[in-house]
Amino acid sequence: MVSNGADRDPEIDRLLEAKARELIKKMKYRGVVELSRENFDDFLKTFRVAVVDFWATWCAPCFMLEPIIKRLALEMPEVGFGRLNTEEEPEIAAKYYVMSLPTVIIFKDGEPVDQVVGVVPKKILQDRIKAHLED
Amino acid sequence: MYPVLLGINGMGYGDFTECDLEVLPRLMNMVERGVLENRRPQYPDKSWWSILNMEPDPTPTGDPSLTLLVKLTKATLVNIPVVNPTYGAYSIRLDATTPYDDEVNGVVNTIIKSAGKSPVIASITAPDRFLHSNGSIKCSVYRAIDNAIGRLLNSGLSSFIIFSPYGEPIGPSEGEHEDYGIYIATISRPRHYDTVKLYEVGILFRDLTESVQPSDS
Repeated sequence: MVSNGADRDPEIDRLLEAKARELIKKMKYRGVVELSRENFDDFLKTFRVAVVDFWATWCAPCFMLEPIIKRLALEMPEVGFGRLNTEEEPEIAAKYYVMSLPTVIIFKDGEPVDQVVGVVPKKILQDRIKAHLED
Repeated sequence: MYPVLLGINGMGYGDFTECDLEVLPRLMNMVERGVLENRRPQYPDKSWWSILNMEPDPTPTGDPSLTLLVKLTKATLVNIPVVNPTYGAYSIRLDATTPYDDEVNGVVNTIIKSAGKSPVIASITAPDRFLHSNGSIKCSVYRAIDNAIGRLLNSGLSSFIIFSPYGEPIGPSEGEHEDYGIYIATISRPRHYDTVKLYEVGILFRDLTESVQPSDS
């Protein structure tokens, strides 16, 4: 049966539109997003669970972590992944008390819920992220 | 052994993780580590002239043995890609004719032989020669380099700078690499909260040769 416009529920239309907007926004933040003060808050609001890798150009272990974050971004599309250069955005790093690099902070509903300091195997980081997807 | 400056043309710290390397990740936790910064486009000859002349923007000189760094350190040059074929006690053509493991072993054998008599400045060009066109062998190339560095360290080397003048090759163009390379050394980098610049590698190697006596074995 083909539905016509007259019997569509406006509430369902609104929900569908909201869902479409959310998907478009998430598409904008595919892969590992380069974060700055311009998009940081919007990025956190877009995903229920978001992961931010705080790094700096002089930090050798930060570059070791980068492929792990990229791989996780491919494997966990429901999670937002971003990286923030702490030299360019020291205020954001200070706001979250980032003292050592690399630091990965897991955010849920825009709030930090867990953090991992240093380079860790992919499985460990993945398990920490998954724990916040499940509850 | 005298100090060794070994440049790997096209390697980044991400390759340590991606390719499960063993020697270099352990080594970086035992000595000084840093990040070398060299922005695109990066070319092997221009990069190495900068190191040998100890200048950010050098004028290439015809004879690498007449450069300031070589004069000051009296170093033996091995496989330096400022000319084609490469310059020094070991030399290859800068194309795919020499297999990567032949080059890696040839360079390391020459370093081991030469470092008993003088400081050595050497280069491994395999990532640049192969990975622009064939990314599928990436980890085989990096593992061969990692194993060879293990052999070099086991030969008694105790003063060194192992670095890459730029990161991993990206895409088919010769000058396209990641902007950040490795710096693993027994001499501290100039500034803690900053990257190491290319010309500073030459200065650091001069300082290293001035500060250490050759080690035994």
